Amino acid sequence: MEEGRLSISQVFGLEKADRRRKSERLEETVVGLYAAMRPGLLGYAYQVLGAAGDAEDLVQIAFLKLFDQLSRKVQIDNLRSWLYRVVHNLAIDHVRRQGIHNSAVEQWLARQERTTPDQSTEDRLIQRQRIALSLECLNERERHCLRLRAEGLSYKEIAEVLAISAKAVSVYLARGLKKFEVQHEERN
Amino acid sequence: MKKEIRRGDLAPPHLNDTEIISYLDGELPRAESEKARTHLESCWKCRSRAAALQASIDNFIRSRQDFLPDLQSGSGQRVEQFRQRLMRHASANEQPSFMAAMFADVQAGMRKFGGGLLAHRRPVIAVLAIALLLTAIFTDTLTTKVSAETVLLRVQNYENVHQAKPGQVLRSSLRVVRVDRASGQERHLADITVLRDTLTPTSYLSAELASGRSTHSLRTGGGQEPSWISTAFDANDFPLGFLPYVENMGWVPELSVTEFRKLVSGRQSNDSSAKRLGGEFELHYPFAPGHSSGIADALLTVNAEDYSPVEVRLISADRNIEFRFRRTSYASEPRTEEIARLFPPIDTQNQSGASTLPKLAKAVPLSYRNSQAGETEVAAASALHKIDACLGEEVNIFPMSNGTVLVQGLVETAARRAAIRKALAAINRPLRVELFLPQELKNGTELLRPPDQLAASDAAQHGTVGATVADLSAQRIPLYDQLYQHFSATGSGPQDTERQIADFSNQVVTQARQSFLHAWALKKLDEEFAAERITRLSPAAISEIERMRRDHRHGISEISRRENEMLDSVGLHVHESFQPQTDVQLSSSVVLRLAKEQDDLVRSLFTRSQYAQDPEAGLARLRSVLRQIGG
Repeated sequence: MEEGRLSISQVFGLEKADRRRKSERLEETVVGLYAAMRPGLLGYAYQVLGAAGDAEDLVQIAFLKLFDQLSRKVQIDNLRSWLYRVVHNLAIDHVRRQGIHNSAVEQWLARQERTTPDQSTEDRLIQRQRIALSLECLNERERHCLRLRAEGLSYKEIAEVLAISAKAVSVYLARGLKKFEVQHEERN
Repeated sequence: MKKEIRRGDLAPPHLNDTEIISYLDGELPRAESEKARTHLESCWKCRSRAAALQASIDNFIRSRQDFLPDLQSGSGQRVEQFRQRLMRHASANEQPSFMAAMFADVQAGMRKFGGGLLAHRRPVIAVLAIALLLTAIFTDTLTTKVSAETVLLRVQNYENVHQAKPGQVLRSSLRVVRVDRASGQERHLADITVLRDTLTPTSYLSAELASGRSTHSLRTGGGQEPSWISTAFDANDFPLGFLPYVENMGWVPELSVTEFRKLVSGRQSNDSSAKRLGGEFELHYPFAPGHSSGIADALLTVNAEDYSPVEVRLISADRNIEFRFRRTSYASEPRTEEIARLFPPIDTQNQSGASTLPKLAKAVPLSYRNSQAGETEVAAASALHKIDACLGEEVNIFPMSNGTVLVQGLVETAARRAAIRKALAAINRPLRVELFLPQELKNGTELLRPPDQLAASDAAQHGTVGATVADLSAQRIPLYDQLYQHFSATGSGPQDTERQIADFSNQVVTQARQSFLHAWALKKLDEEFAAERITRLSPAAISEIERMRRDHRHGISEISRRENEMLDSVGLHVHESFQPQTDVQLSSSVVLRLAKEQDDLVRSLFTRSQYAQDPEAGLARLRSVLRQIGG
């Protein structure tokens, strides 16, 4: 590991725990990482994918891949962007294969409809629909960049996930945000 | 052209959206960021644009939050489910991949030699035979390498899943057989039933010998238990030394991991191995040669599918005789009235029949103030200390009203729980151990309030390890400028410098946290083993307590020294007034207060934090605190 690069344990503050568990198996490390990183990755997968059940499965597959990599002693430079990249690619593959498009919003709407709507939920529904539509006008790259940034990834990490340059990330973010803003204002 | 230049001179060109967003995200290179900042300060238009962009970021975040499902819900079960999936995945990959690799080697060898195959048939066949033999040997050692401990951990997982619920009892039955290994002849010795209660810390044991004699006994797991095994079994059936040995280890003939560990904990050997035989794992724990128990090997057979224990086999020193304890049933059942009669009534604590005191439902934890420390408590504290469970983990030692000791707590992972249980089992004293995983807690009432006053103070809130993580997101830490100056001087690029800063900050934060945890543990020791509680302890126990205290004090001063050196190494010097150094040992309360302060200071200086901190003043204070606790 090169000087100045963060180790997995440092990123997650697991130094003490790591020392303690050195003798224990890789499985526990991966389970620990899964527990720590699941919400963020799941949120991202869910947004790209739409179907929550699949999102869970997909995130787990990403960690199984991680386990395989680590047990083969493959070095992973930035764990976070590695995981997001795997999740991203799996999700995109899945979407392309299934032709599911942006159904997260539809799913959300369906979930809302199942609960008995009172007046305020109805208002919120309309609001939600507006937001959904304002995201609709963004192109795929812009959406990905915004979502990954919202998960807290740096430009460089986003660039690694999407295999584009960091400069491009800033351009997509600015463009995406502008479109989002315009739509958002129009709908309100 | 001229016009352009003049306009540029008067006011630098406005920032575009990309630049503003990159600036807000802290993603501009340093020089550009500086330029953007000065421009924003002077330009209303750009500042208003920046605010508008920030507002749409807020809107985006809100909209995202709104249609995401609750991602935290059921995360405990999810993690557990993933653990199972990973275990399956790992064990499915383990052996085949190795075999595949071996066969690939052999195949490659065949292909390589293929040309000469006809010409040198014999040597090739010999080479192949050797290769196959090697394969066989290596796969054997490989399967042996699946460590016995790993399998035991999984068995423990199995047991955790199959625990009896409160109000039930767990019934396990065993069949004991003696086998003459030369002739293969089997002789049925006994059937054993163990009922583990959930409402009292009691187990009901009964043995029916083949001769028709039957005995039973109650075990409370605390204090001196009457010997049972030697009365239950016919000593003639076993090698000399066997019954005294298992009696001494407190072994209950049952197939749980805890009991198995007891059985092998006195074998005076550390070897163990595991082998896969068909659908079962065989864990092999050899005893030291010439062991007084007359046992040569203990073997535990485990179902490879679900990791349920199947059988314990003990082989005599002369290897002529084998004892098999085979599980015939294992299930929880309701605690019916008939069964309840087997156990002591739940309020056995009131031994004097004429007592008018309100009856206690069960043994209750005593506060430190109302009890005396016992040797078991010290042994437990020492065992926890050795595996660092005293450093920020929520594990407490409770003296109970019936004289027993309970170790209770909340741990992060099943593996950690197993490690703590193992450490506590090794001290070989009557202890009740209740360790929960977060997902096992239903509402938190399962956990007793810690017996000391400490937890009530606000310092306890920092007991979680998670708080040590320095935030690595874009915003900057207060000491950023100083650190940047230092690290960029080494000639590395801005990206590397950023990394070095983050790395350095993380290390300092981790150290500070460690130091605080040591101080916390020291304070806890003082509470638990206060002078008035240890009057009845043996000198050995008292010196053990002293040793633990010394460990923590040493840890704190070492870490403080290291922190100081780290700050020196990056040139974080401060002008400070003279600080008198005291030779007096600080009390644990003072140490804790100082350690807490240095932890807070470090976090405010080296992480992106919400508390504004004047870096100069903070650093000066940190230096002085470190010098005080550094001793």
